[in-house]
Amino acid sequence: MFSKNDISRRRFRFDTNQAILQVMALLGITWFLVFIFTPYYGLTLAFREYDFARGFFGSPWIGFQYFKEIFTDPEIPNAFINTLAISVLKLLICFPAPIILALLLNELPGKRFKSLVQTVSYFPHFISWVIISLIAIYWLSPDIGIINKALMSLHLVGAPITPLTDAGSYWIVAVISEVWKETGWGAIIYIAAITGIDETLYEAASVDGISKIGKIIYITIPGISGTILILLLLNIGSLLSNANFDQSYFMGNAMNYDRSNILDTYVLKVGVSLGRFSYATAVGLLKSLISLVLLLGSNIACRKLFGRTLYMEEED
Amino acid sequence: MAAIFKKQRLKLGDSIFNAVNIFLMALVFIFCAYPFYHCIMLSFNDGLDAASGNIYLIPRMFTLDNYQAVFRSQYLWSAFLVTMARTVIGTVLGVLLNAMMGYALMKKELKFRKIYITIGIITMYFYGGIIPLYLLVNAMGLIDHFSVYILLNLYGFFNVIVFMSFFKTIPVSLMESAKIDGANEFVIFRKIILPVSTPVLATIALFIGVHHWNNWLDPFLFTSKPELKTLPIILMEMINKSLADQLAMSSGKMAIAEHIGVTGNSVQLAAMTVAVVPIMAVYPFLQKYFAKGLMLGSVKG
Repeated sequence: MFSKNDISRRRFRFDTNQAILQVMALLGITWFLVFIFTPYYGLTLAFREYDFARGFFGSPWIGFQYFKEIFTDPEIPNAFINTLAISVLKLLICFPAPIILALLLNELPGKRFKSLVQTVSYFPHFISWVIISLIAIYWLSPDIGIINKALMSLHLVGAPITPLTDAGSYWIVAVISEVWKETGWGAIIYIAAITGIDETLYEAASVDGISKIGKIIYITIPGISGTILILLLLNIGSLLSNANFDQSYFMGNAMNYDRSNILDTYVLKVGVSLGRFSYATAVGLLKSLISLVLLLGSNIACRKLFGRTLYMEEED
Repeated sequence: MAAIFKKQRLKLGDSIFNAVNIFLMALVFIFCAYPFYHCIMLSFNDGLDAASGNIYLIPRMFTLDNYQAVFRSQYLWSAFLVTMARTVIGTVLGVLLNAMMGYALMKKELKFRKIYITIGIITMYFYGGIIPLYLLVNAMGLIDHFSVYILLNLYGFFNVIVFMSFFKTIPVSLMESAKIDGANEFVIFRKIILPVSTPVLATIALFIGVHHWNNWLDPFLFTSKPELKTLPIILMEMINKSLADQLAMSSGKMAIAEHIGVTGNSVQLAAMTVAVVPIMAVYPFLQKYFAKGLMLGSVKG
């Protein structure tokens, strides 16, 4: 394979290329160390009393005082329950929704219509929660909101509904708006998995006279079950982030605070609005630790089931 | 006889399924498209007139006043330009840097590759939180600097992984032959890898671009200068106001309602449109690459 010339130049060339590759990688590694790893050390703030005058390194160590406070803070159980409840509700509803959409989209006759629906369905994914909440305010407005107009004219409700400001409705609003925003986007990966299924299976099924629904149940769903399982594990691994910081922040308001206040928004409130840096860090750290346990758990499950880690296929 | 009968029943069943399916997917289409259409359309309608409702398809009293009001405000112009600047600079730098890192990490001969990948994966698993990040930004003297928008968002290991998985699918022979011609790794990356990677470049560019365009936490946490405000921050301020209006109106305390410009609501809609339309404009050009760019990466990685 190699000419003599190649071999004699090989060592020198290898070094140049290794150096180039190292620069390419190290630019990024340096960034990750500075902007992601340094804040890890900043987490020790949870064990210090932040001193605004003397800064981070001048802040005295105080041990677990703030963690003790977490367990006596009356707002914490509420924020924790909201985080967990919204996350689990979304796991139950927002996780299966893209699978159903992908199965239905796949059966759609007419390529044009299919790609049109698909393109439009994942557009909301790219729009920020600021704008989504603005649209929601309009659509749910008691006097001119389209949803209320529709419900009233169909006589489904007697008086306009105001879910954005009803304390009890936030969880439902959170789930529905999340389904609306992310289902199309979530379906992409399943559609990709479906295109990977062997065509001949469907042809054979047609010969055997199996209906469309039969094909979905006996061919398509088993064909994408691996993808479903991996994504389920990923979802469980990042369960608490399902509660969605941006969504809670923008859909939340004084009226639904009791249901919309999650751990992340509480950290923002305590840390930024109240300026209690150390306590906010402690709450954030506790949440991160719970998430880490969930993630490691689902990673172990993934390794057992598939012999790979969640994010990386190869272990070389 | 029975077989034919069964086949007919099957055909009928499939036809019903198709009809229901088409109906459902048409609903999905309407549900996803109409809210945006409706809000954008309303932004071209007179504010006071719109407040009486019942406008569904086309403006009843067409006007550009809402946009005049929006762009008369100096804040919005500067916010628009700041957001545009951070999006363009951030996307170009982000795509190049993440692609370079993905290329390097894909190479098996890269020394310490395993350590680098481990570092990267940890950053996806564990987040330091906003207060430690704030202290870091503060210590670096980046508070109230435009560069904070760019620096904080240069890399994301998810993007690096998508690049890695895509680059892995490029035939090795392409790179090998260039190598034999004496090209170094950077030349190969620039001249061979980048030109065949349009799908993944477009996909990641859209991810990073949209992230910059929509990001509100960076300006919220790290800047206080009005000239560094971004579009999402302006929208945030407007939303808080609107909700106050809404609450005031539904509880009958009209006096609290505070209006800016034409009417508070119509200006909001115009500002929202200003924020949505740029995404709509680039979206059709980039979304067609998702299939190739993202799927390969995500199904595998």
